[in-house]
Amino acid sequence: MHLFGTTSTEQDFAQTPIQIEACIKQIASGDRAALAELYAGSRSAVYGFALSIVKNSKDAEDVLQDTFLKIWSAAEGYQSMGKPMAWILTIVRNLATSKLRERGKTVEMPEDEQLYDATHDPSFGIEQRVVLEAAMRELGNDERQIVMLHAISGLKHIEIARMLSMPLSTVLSKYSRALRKLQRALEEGKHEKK
Amino acid sequence: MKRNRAEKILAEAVRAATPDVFDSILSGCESKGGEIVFMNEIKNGTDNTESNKGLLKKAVASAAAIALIVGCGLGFGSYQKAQAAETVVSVDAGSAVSVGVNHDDVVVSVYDNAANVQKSDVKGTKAKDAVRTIAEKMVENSIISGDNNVVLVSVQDAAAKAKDGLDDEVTDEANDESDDAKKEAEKELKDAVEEVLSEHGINGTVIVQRFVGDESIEEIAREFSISSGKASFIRKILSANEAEKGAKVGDFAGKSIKDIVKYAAKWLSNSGVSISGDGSLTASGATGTVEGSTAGDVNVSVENDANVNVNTGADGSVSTHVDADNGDVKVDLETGAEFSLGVEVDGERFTYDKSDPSGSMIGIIDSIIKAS
Repeated sequence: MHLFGTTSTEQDFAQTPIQIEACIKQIASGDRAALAELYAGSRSAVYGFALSIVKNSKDAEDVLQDTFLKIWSAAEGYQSMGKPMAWILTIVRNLATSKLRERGKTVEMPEDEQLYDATHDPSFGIEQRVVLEAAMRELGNDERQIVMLHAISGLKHIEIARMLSMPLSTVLSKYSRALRKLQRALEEGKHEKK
Repeated sequence: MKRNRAEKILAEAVRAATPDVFDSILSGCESKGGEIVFMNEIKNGTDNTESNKGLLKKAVASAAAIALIVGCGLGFGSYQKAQAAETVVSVDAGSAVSVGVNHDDVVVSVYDNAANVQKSDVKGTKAKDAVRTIAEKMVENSIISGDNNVVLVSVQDAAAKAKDGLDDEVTDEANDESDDAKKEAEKELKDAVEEVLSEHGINGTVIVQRFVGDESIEEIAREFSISSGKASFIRKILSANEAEKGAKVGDFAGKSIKDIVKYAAKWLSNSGVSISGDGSLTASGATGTVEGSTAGDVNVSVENDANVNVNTGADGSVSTHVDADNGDVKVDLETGAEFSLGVEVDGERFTYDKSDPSGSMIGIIDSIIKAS
């Protein structure tokens, strides 16, 4: 059974600020259906970004949940600036950072087999596992966050630069380096498979 | 290889690995009243407080709401359908664990988690497997034991809400499910618990009920922090008990299912429940059927007992009584011979061993449940 939403649906949603803002507006008036829509369209972006910061599937799951609860409670105060996804991801970053502080975690990531085994999705093949493991284990913190924000949330490099308070050139170089690492992991995974 | 291929694969991987926590989010919103309960707060030691039990309880009510909310034509049809709990199955021996089950009979959420069942152990599994896991956990936690050996398995359909016209698709599917399939599903759930009881050497009884949730049941569940299944069970017992006018749900909410059954036995006895009528018992066969009624109409058959020679009265009449002390149901023939009872409801036969008094009583209660 396929439990998860389609790639295109979520990506399309994450890149449609008008639709997201409409959801937030409806959520502000207590509309749970709008919350369901926002959740369905952006949960992977939220989870991926949270995962890139907390580096642990359980903590990322908590952040995922708390983010939407926060959206539910804070939607009334949302000021439209045409970048609702950035607003959501800022909530994610704040909650994830709090989570790190709370847990006293720094950089080291414990083995997280649950993350790689958690899915029952038949589309989760060897390549997906290899790349996800590489993203979690081989990328630096900034690299991981940048590549997650670009690949899943669909943020532009300039938006990522603003969000992470980095020069655009730094974002671009880290992004390139991250992708090279992921590509190498994919190639090595392919060879190992052979 | 093109650079964006790795990025695409990473995106697919994260999407596949993203857990679904919408039930929990919704239950958090449900409890709002100006106050959101965050995961951080729950995990920092307040997980088992009464208030949070209440929060989780509210998730039961949310389950049906999820089915409606996600079915509002938002453009995420298949996803939402997979995540929507259309049925809530609860295992209750006093304390309960409930799971939300989707249209594919797969568990999508966990509520009323009295036995601290790991979500990951049951989520994504078939309902019967989840019920088995829950029963195992309840035995481990002594919620089910040799002393507390009566287990209520409840299947709560959300179809009634769908029938309001809010979700025709769900309604159609619910209606398409044949009675036979439902009975088969109920039997699987019952078998799953009975297997666990047997494996642990517990001589117990499993009652299965199916009901359609409504607001009054949810209200009772919320008020007394019990499962909707137990709320429905108590309400049925109370409504069947015309003689015990003063009895209230609150008098029984904190009791085990076994104790509720024992009390019910007493009421039924006091209310003069009797099953009697024209029998066709013979000295040689000792088989026959008598018509009778309790709160609902049931057909009662006297079981053949090869070890007892029976003489009946000239008119073949029999009578029954319920033992107020142990809930045993006996058939008294004119000679004083006693038999266990079988209860037949809508062509389905329930037979109870007279060596298991509570089982006999449960037979009557079961018949009330089926008839109501």
